[in-house]
Amino acid sequence: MGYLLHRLLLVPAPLLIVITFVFVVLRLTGDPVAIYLGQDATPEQEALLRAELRLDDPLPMQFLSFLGDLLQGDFGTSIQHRAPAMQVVAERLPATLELVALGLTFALVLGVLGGIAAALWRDRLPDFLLTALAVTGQSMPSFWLGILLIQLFALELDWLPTSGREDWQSAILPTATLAAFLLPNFVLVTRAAVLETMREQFLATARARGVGPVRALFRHVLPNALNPVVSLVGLQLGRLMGGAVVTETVFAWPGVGRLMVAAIFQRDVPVVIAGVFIVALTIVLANLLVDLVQAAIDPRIRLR
Amino acid sequence: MRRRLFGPNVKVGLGLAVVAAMVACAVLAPWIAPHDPYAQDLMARLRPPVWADRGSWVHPLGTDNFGRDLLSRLIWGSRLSIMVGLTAMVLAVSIGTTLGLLAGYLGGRVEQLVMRFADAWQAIPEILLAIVVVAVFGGGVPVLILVLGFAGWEVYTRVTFNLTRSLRERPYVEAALAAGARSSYVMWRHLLPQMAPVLSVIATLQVGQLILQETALSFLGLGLPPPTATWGNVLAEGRERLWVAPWIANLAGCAIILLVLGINLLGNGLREMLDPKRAER
Amino acid sequence: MRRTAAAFAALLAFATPVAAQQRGQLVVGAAIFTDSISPAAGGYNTLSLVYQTWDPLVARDHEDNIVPALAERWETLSPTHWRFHLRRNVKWHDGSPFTAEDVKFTVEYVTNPRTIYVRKGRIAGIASVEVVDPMTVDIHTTSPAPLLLRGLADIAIEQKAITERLGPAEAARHPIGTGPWRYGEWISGDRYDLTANREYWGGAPRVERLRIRTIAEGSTRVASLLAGETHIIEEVPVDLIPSVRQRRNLTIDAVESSVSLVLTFDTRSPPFNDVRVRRAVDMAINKPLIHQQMLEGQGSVLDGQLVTRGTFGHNPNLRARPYDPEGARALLREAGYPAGFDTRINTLSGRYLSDVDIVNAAAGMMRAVGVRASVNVAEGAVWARMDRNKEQGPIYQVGWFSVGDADFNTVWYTEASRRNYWTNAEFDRLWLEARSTLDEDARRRAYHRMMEIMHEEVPSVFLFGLPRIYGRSNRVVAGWRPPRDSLLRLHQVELR
Repeated sequence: MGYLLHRLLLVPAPLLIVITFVFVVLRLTGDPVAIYLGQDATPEQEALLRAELRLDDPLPMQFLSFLGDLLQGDFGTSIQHRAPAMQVVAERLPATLELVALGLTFALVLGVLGGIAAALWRDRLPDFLLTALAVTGQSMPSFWLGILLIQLFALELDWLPTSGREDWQSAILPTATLAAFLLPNFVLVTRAAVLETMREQFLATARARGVGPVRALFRHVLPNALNPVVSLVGLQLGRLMGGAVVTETVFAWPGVGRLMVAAIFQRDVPVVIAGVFIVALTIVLANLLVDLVQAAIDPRIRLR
Repeated sequence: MRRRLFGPNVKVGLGLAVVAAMVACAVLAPWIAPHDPYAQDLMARLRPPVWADRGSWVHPLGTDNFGRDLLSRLIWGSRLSIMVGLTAMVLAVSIGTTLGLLAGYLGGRVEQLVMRFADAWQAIPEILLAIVVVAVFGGGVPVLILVLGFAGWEVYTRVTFNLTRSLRERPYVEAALAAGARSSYVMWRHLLPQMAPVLSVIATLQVGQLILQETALSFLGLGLPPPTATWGNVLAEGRERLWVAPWIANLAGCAIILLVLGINLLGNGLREMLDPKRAER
Repeated sequence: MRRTAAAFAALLAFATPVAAQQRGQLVVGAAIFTDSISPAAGGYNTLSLVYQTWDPLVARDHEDNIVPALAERWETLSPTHWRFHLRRNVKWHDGSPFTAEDVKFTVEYVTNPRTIYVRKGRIAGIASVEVVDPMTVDIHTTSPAPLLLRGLADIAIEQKAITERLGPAEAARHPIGTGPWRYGEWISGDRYDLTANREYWGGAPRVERLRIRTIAEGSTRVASLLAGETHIIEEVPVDLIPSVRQRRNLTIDAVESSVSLVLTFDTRSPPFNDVRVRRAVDMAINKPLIHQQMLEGQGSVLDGQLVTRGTFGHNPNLRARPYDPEGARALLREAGYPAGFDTRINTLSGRYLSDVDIVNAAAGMMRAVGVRASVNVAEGAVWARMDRNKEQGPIYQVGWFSVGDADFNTVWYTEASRRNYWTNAEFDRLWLEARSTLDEDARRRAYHRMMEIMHEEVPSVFLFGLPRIYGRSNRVVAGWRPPRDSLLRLHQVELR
């Protein structure tokens, strides 16, 4: 519990810096009122809306009152959506979580399997092919991959829908695109970790005691090799969000990523900040989970 | 020992060859590009490459939607793409290493502050910050470098910190300190050189990632503004014409893959070479 | 067999007043999808969603003509006194009858100075509304208002009872209107699902369900059409037109919109305070070539004036200045720029069809005569602020839309807009005159003269009347016409 608290307490400092930065920069450049009302805006309308949004106060005052509301859990009202900012973000969150979770699972399972295969057939053809595939995947711009996937699976073969979020089929291509973004790292790290573990003394001992190769792999090699893979998950979450923005755009997936990009362009400060907050919270919680999982698979690690 | 199909030497050699060729292209762009990458010829739009029907040697890789020579744009584009990737990496390395060295060397409060900050920085979605900055300040070369550089510093902090801590315990460092050497001197002279191999591997791989991030920003309309020739722009502009002029996006994509592949081969090969444990295998 | 069936169906349709409704779903791929379905909020494109469930008093049709909607007919009792006779037996989606009280309520709520309503400027001239009887409404304007009807076409009539009970924001979340479609589900950033309103006064929609999906990425939007997931898509990227055309089961429907794409000069300071320099730039740009190459010949080259051919006020005697790079160089020499000069063009990206492509092509041509223009792509919010502060720089590209009447886009060149760089007293006076008389001939004469002034003075280079390019599946067999004003009118669409 103390550990948990410790981890959570670390987040506010950088988050505060980011929130301040986002708030100041977005408020100083561009004008949410002009964007919302468009070119037909009358001066009276502008004045009215500026007053409602408290845009006429000096910037420090605006920020302080925003922070005050924030402390009470109020992220403010979205200018564009005319609804509480947190509610706007929350409506879009499931789509992104679904995409990220599916992509991550997919990449993790295939990546670990691929990595093990590459390690077992080290320096032979499967290893070469898998490594080459992984490194090529690492080098591919993901929006291009997404469009190529649409072309192949939705247009040429007509197996899957091109875009949108409806049934499970519509999730396949976006998931694959996002997974392709992560998969290579998992293959390479798993391969390295498995190779490393196989060289350890305890394994030789176990084998000498007559433990079969399959049993050795699952009982001894994998638990040890998985650790770096799991910590990679934690490290990759931030990048994953970036990948999600692009993937959501290509596949018209109604997630937080696209929402945030639009909100930045519209200077919809409450939505941007609510979004940054939620994404940061998700990453922190996921990292926490990563730590717990690591402690569970490797008794040598103690939570401190 | 089994014969290796694809050892570190091969990887490094191949990677180096690819990267060197690309960098040579970038440096020699003014002399080897057949056309001005910005010269438009609206009557010669979307000409296919030489190997397709209707292709010609005038534009070996065809033309884009303004009738600009694609080969020339790719050659010139490699300049900016490589330059942005490299400079942003240097920036990230400088920030990250400095902080990591300080934290590892000084310990105590500084360590707590820096490392906890680095931990928590992980939770900030960097791409969104990048979008904020580029949206607000425009996508000029300096802005792009700053944004990409600032997004990737914390890896180096973590690595440098861990290495510094273990290196500090080494006898020669302690000896230097005992002999009255100044801390900055010790850091510069003794610690940094020890870390260079590890850092260079991470840095090499990062350049590839940064080049990909530039293309992602271009895709979102936040890269260097058109008509600037960068690979990201050529690819992003090409996607609107994928079914009509597939060669534009596909050739730009291949160029990106080739360079990043070369960089990744180089990085992975270097890692295997430099890590004595793995080198034995 | 099929022919007899079709003939039989036609006979049936003739025999029964309402054609049999089809099962199934019409799916539309939208390029722009606003964050709201509230009539009070969002940009112009919000109307495309709003009018699925709501109706205005008078409407525009797909060719920008004014047609009856909730008002069956109207007359002017005096130049400032309009009487609207409402359509009888119109029902709200909740079954309650539509009456004059709803009209009065909506107009008063929209014009209330305390209300934030994005398009309220459209009916700013209204002084008061009176209910004469449940089916008759009178509107008084402060001065003769020739634009009242066009303004009313952008105002959705909301139900008094519901809006009063829930408040406008809440009521708009779950629209109960009089429109052709009933609200089903709205998923922000994804889709809008609707079902046919069988009681619609304009005839029940031919298809049972409607889905409007947002697919912002152009190539994905086209892919969805090619894959048969959508039946109609908005804004086919120009370079993907051939890929739609070459499919036998798909069609491109293009129509000229009333959006005029122009390059506007900051005429307050050198070099563009000199009309010769502005003319030189106009002559340096080969508009027909750009039109042919960057717009596939869709839409039109503007006739040396702001408005498009279909717009009220278009002057048929004017022609675009011919492409003449030699003449342009001569004019530049005469104006004292023999060596040309450096300048900058501001533009948005993706706001107008092929905007960045067009401006880059134009800049290339300007460079050829010595006007070394660089292109700066500005971000929307920054753009809005520069626009308001009149800081767009020496040249900026913008599209002004008129939805059928010259008043709506000529305003941007008057002092009244507070956004103008160029100014001309005669022009301002004519603009005011034209918007305060109901005499159509007088209005037309005023606009013709205004177009002449602009043609001579070149406050902007008038480039193109932009097309709206729709992709359509051949399963859409009837009832669809590409709209000049981009609003989706779908209730008569039939699917095969």
